[in-house]
Amino acid sequence: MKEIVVTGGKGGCGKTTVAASLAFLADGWITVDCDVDSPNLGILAQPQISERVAFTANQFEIDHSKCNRCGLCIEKCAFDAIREDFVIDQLLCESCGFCKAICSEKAISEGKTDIGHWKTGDSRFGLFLDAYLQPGAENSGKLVALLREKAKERALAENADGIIIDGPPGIGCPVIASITGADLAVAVAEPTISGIHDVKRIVELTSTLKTHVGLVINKSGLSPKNESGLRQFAFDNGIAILGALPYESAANEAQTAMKTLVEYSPDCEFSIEMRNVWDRITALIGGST
Amino acid sequence: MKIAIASGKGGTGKTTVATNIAYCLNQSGVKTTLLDCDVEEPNAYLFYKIEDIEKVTIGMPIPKLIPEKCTSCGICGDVCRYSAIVNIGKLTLIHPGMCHSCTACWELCPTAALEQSEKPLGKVISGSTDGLKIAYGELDIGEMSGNRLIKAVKAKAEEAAINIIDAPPGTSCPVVETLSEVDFVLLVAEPTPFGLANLKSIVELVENIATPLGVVINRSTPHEDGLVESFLQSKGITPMAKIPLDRKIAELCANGELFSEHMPEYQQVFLDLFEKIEARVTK
Repeated sequence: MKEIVVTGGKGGCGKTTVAASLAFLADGWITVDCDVDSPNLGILAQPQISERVAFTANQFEIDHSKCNRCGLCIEKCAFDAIREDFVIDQLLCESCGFCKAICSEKAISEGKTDIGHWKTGDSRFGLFLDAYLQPGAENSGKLVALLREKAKERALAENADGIIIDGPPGIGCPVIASITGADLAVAVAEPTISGIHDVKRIVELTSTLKTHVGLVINKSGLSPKNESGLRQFAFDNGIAILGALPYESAANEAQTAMKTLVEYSPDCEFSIEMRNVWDRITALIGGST
Repeated sequence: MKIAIASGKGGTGKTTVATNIAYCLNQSGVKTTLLDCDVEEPNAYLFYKIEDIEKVTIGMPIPKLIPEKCTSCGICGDVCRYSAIVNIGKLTLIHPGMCHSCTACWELCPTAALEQSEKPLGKVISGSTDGLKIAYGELDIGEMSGNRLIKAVKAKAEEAAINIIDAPPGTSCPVVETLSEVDFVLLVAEPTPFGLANLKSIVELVENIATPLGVVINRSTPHEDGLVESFLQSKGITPMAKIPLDRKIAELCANGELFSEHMPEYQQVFLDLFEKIEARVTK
């Protein structure tokens, strides 16, 4: 069973557009959206939810009837999360528990609170999993790791050929959690100066994580100069170019119709090249189509 | 004044709006600072030729073991919630990559066998161009969280200046760090189903931190805008400005150009937008 992760560093470079098309093209694969901040793939997949499980975090509270207002917790909190009125700011708290450990009055309690959920269900892409993290909540990396673990369990149970992962933007903890251990990272890059800058950093990350990487150029045609810059970068670093998807004006129309581009407009240039991308991916990882 | 530019979704045009507002304000003689807090993928500086560059390495505190003082009591491993310290028999193993710098392990070690040390996290780079001051953070590859770097970039804000702060995408901890203690949050929304879903999340977050907000619709088209506008209406929000879907703008941005420099008709759009924000903040 193979795992491929669609990544790219930059937000809005087309990760979900590419991942959704791959999900549609990949028969016998399951799909998991690991962008727990902005889980958009589900908008297109429209799964029939069969299971929904809460994701919890530890939450600390100060019991004002026990607190002697000594101020030690305020002084020691490395995240400045305890206010002068001895109330813990849950957005700033990183749940380290130091305050609870040092409180002489045992005034700080620890409980569980829901900060999101993960869910699964059947869709026209096959089995689909995604998760949602409350705005401002911690632990996105942990939720991504949990989601991938669940996806793997399901894929093994279903005897699936593989898992397509839609990754979050950036290079931080949820991105690292989405790439680590995958068989192939498909880095989507747009031919813009920001796109070149960002994909270089994601490629550096995949190499640190020892994950094989291939490049998909999206919005091809927007800037020939930057596109050759991307190709040069791939050549210099021995990275396979999996395809160049044209700047597609129907992209937003397809999204508004809740369809992937390969479904909405199967004969357009984008869709033809998208099928080539999928063929090249399967050839690269030695899986079956 | 601190104005943060944010959006739930990536690629909606945060950097485009931030760099162009900063450019137009600076051109019109307003003392302006541009702070890029997307330390994972900083892009704003790519649109300027920055001079007088200064680079400062930012570190984060992590524990360091002094083996001869360690009694293998296991308190450090018990207190660490991030699996950054693991006690296996007599061994105490430290994984700096997991550490959140909460300080609990070295503060609570009964034999002072752990002391505070530091590892580099990234850099804050600052400089100026044509009077405009710019600072941005660059997180080292492989690091988990850039929150300390974001704080260091924000520390470059100037009291007497208009500080334009470019936020990272999403709604999680780096965004919370960026938006804390700003005077106004300007959201850049894209009129697509994805854009709408992520706009809802970021509006929820900004309402949570009780900071005034406004919305700019980017890649606006007459037949698509309704999607986000009906949501905004339900929240009592009127879009403060619209930037149309225009391939010329996309091409200029792709090539690292400030589009309002080449399409001067937009300079007034950004100045008007700023005036509206200023009126909201100072009212």
